[in-house]
Amino acid sequence: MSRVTFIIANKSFIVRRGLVLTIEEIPKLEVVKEIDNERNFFRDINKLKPDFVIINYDFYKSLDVNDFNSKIERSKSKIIKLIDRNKDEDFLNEADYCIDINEAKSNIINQIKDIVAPLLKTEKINSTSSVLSNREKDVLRYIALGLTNQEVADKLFISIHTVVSHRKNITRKLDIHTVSGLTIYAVLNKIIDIKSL
Amino acid sequence: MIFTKDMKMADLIHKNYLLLSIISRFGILLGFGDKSVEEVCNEYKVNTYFFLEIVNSCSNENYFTDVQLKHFSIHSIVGYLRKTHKFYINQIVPEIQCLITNLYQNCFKQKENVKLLLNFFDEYKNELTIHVNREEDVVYPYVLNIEKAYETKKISDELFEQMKNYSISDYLNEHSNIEEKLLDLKNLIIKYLPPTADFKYRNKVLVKLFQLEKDVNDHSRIEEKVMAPKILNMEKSLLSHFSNDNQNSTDE
Ligand SMILES: [Fe+2]
Ligand SMILES: [Fe+2]
Repeated sequence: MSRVTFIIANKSFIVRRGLVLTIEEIPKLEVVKEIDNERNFFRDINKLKPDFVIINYDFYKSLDVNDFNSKIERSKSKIIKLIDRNKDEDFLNEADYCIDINEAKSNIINQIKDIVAPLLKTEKINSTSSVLSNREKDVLRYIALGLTNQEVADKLFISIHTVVSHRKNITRKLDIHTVSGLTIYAVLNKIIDIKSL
Repeated sequence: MIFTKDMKMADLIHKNYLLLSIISRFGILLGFGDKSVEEVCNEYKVNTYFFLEIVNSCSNENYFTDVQLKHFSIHSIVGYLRKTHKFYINQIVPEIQCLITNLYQNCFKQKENVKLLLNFFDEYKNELTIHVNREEDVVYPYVLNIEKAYETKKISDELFEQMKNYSISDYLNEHSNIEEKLLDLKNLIIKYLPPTADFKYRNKVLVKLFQLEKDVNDHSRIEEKVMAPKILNMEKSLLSHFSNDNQNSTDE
């Protein structure tokens, strides 16, 4: 049974604990990490790839970046900004969702439920997505044989851009990041023959 | 839980058995009875506060280690990092290698598959060795020299020249990710190597891989978030101090 995961980025211990307790009252939701300082923020997000990141103004400000979205792109996480309507804070207009810290408990829970609903519904469809498509298998075969992106593109008559995006998908689906790791996967799954190496 | 100097050393291990390897790294041997952390550290001439920073940062995800560790000298930090390298190269890596070899020898059906894993780990070992050697031979001596120059306010011409071509920021740029292959190996064993009856060695390999990965993570964090920023500051101050010095030989 898959879960919906959260990371909470907030400097206040009390606020973080409050959010954790609230979120974990909802079945299938889990806070995988609380982040209390900006130091390893991007590294943690991209490593843990949570479904959602909840961040407030104070924390966002301390990150001091203007390309926030591109920096967390790899994680595919959605952003929920935690705001305080009594303060005039303007930040992260691109955030996917917004929660007001002053809301009553039941309202906050309902909002979160709404936010995660699409993910819980598509659970079944996603569970088969770790299977590689035929095209991805083609790409994987050539990568395993040691071809460069350009060479793979030439062999398959596709653009190098497409090869790169296939590679990204393969790595994401399999959770294998190095070429030698992919090669072993390919052998284990009979995508290439061990003798051809 | 945050460990403190008055706790019993034995309790640290009861709370987090992964500290075993870290305690040995400091040269501390088991059999310390009910002595406190401070008593044991004194006995082994280990700086209690430095020891506590390391064990706390390895035990608590959210522990503010980077801030605290900055108070310790590069000398002690590098000393610890070197001991950790030794632990990798002399202990845990050979152990894992031995376990994968056992797995290989004890499986009948898919020997050629396990052989691939053995080769993969061999590759990893080479990568790690190159990484470690580079740090031991180039980076650590450099940072120790920088600290010495910073403290004595004396800089050799050689070091001054070296600083023109190399800075710790180069290290940060070139510092390679040595966890990726470990992650892959874990996934290959957990998800993709077809089921084998001999789960015993397979599980053992995994447990060790998790341990190594965690340790490497903590280690790299100290290198990147503690050692490097400290040196960066020292470099800046040295450069401004001695560049002025060259023009008009001031005192101090
Ligand atoms: Fe190192
Ligand atoms: Fe390193």
